[in-house]
Amino acid sequence: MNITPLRDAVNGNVKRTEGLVSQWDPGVEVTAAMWRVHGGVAAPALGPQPLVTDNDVREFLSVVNSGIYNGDHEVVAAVRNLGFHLSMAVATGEFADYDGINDRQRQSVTVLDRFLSDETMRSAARVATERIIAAREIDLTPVIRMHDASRYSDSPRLAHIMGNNLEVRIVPSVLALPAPNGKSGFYRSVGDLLRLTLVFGVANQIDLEGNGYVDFPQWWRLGVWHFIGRRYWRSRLDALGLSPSDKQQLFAMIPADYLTKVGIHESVIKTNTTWDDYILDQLIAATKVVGERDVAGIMSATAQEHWFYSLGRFHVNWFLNQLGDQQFDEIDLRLMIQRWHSALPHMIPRKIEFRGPLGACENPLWRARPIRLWFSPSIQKTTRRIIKVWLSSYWGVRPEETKAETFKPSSDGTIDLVFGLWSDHEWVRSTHADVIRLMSNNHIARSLNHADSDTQIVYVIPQESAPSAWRRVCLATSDQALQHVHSHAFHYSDWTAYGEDGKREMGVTSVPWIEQPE
Amino acid sequence: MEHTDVARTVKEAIIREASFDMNAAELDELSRFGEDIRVDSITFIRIVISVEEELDVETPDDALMQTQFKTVADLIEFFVGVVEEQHT
Repeated sequence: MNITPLRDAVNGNVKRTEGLVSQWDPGVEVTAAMWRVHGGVAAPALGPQPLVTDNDVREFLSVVNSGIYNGDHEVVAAVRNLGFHLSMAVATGEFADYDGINDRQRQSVTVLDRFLSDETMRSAARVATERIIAAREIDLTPVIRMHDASRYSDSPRLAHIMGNNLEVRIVPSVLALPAPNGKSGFYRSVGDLLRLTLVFGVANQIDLEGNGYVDFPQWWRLGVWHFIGRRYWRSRLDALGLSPSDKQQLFAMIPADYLTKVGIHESVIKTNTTWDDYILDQLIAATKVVGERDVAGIMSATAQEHWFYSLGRFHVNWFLNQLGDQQFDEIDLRLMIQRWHSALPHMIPRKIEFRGPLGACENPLWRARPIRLWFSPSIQKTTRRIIKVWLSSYWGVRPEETKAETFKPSSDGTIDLVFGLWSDHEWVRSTHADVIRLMSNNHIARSLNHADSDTQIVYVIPQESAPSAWRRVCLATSDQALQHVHSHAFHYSDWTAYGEDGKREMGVTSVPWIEQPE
Repeated sequence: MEHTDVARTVKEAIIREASFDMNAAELDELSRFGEDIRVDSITFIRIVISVEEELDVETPDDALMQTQFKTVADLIEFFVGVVEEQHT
C-alpha cells in the first residue's frame, strides 16, 4: 500500500525535494504484536487508545505462528532482550546503524532477523494485517496530513542543518500501541540524502486541530528534528577527534544523578552510559527547543524545555543558552564542551526540581514516591471511585484517600493529587495560593480571571517544601467537569483550562528560558 | 439475574455515558471498543462503575482497561461472570 509518491515541496523559504513514502510492513506488525503481548507494556492512560484490542493482537499472533502466540519461541525472548526500539531497527532493516551492542543482543538480532525473513511467516502476517486494516477501514491520510502540517522545515536553523534532501519513510503499525507511545525512528545518511524511517502506531485518532492530549503535528516535527539534530551533532562531535580516554575522563566528571533519563513517551528509565550519549542527548534536546521556539514561539518552547528536563535532561537549559541565536555551524563545539566541563562542578549541588509539564506526572522519574489523594467534600462518592479506579487501572497506583476536612499541601515529599469543586469554597481556599501564583503569570491571567465561576482547570506545580515532589490539582464546577478536565489536559503544558464555552487554553507557569544555572 | 438484564444494563450505561443517540436495542453487542465505540479512558471507567452500581457488584480496580475488552459482548460477559460470582 504505497500512499504517496515522491514529490516536490516548498516550505517557507526552503525548497527541497522531499520523498515521503508510507507503507505497511508485515515484519513491523509481527514485532509490534510480540512486544505488545510479551513485552510487558500497557496502553497509555491518556491520549489515543489502541485501535486494536489486546485480544485482537493475540489472535493475530496465533494466526501467524503458534510459538510466538504462546511466548515459548526463541524469537519472543529475542524481542524481549532487544526491547522495542532495537527490535524495530531489525524489523525495518535499519539495524546496520547500531553499534555498541553486546553479544547477547547480537544473537537476538540474528534470531529476530532470521524469523522476520521467513516468507511464509511474512505472507501470513501480511494477510492478517490487511484483514485488520480492511475491517477497520484504516486510512493513512491523517498520517500524511500530520507530516505536512508539522512545519518541520519552518525553523531556519534546523532547515539549515537539514540540507536540501530529506526522505521520510513512514511505517505505520496497527498493532503497536498508538503514538506517541508506540513509535520508533532511525536515520541513515546516503550521500547528501538524509533518510528517516519512522515507525508510527496508528490509532485513527490523530488530532490535527491541536485539541487533543498530544498536538500530533507538533509531536511529529519534534521527532523529525530529533534525527536531524542527532545526525548533525554526531558528525560535529566525531570531527572533534576526542580520544576514548578523553571521553572516559570527561564522563567520569558527570555525577550519577545526572545520568538517569527517561525515554521520550516510553516511560522507561535508562542511563547514559557514555560521554557521547550524554552530550548528544543534551544537544539534541536543546536543538529541538530552538526549533520549537522558531516555529511555535517562546511558550511552546518553554514547555518543551520543561519536558526535556523532566525526562532527565537536567542541563538542557545550559546548552540552550550556549546555542543562543547563532547558526549551529558558527558554534565552536570544542569551546562549548570546555565551558561545559568547567561549569559542571558548580552545577552539581543544584537540586533537581520538578518543572512540569502535566505529561511529566506520568513519568517514572517523578512518580516513584508516595501519593496522597484529596477530594473536596461535595465530590460524589461515584466520582471518587471513578478517579481511584482510573488511577489504579492506568497509572498502576492505589493512593490513600485522605479524610482531612481541608486540603493541606504535603511537606514530606509526598505527591498530592487534588480534586476540588469550586463550590467547596473553604476547602478550595487552600489552593488559592497556587491560583494566585499562576495568575501572576500574565500569560494565563486571562484564563483564570473567572476561575471561581466557570473555568475548569488542571495544573501541576512543585511542592514548596519538597520541590522534587509535585501536586496536580483539578478544579471544576461539577463532578462531570472534574472528570473531563482530569483526562483532557494538554501533555506539553503546566496548566490546561476550559472556559464555559469549552474553549481550551494552556501554558507554562514560568519561563526560565534565560535562567543561568548556579 | 438473567443474561439479558446484564446486557441491557451494560448497553444502557454505554449509551448514557458515551452520549450516544440510540436505545439499548440498537446497540450491537459486536460493536468494538476503540472502533465503533470511541470513548476516552475515564469515560470507559465511568461506564464500568455505572454498571457496577446498577448491578450492585464490585469489580477489581486494576482490571478495567478498555483494551481488555474487544466488544460490548465481552464487557457483558465480564459482568455476567461478576454477577454470578457475587450474587450466588
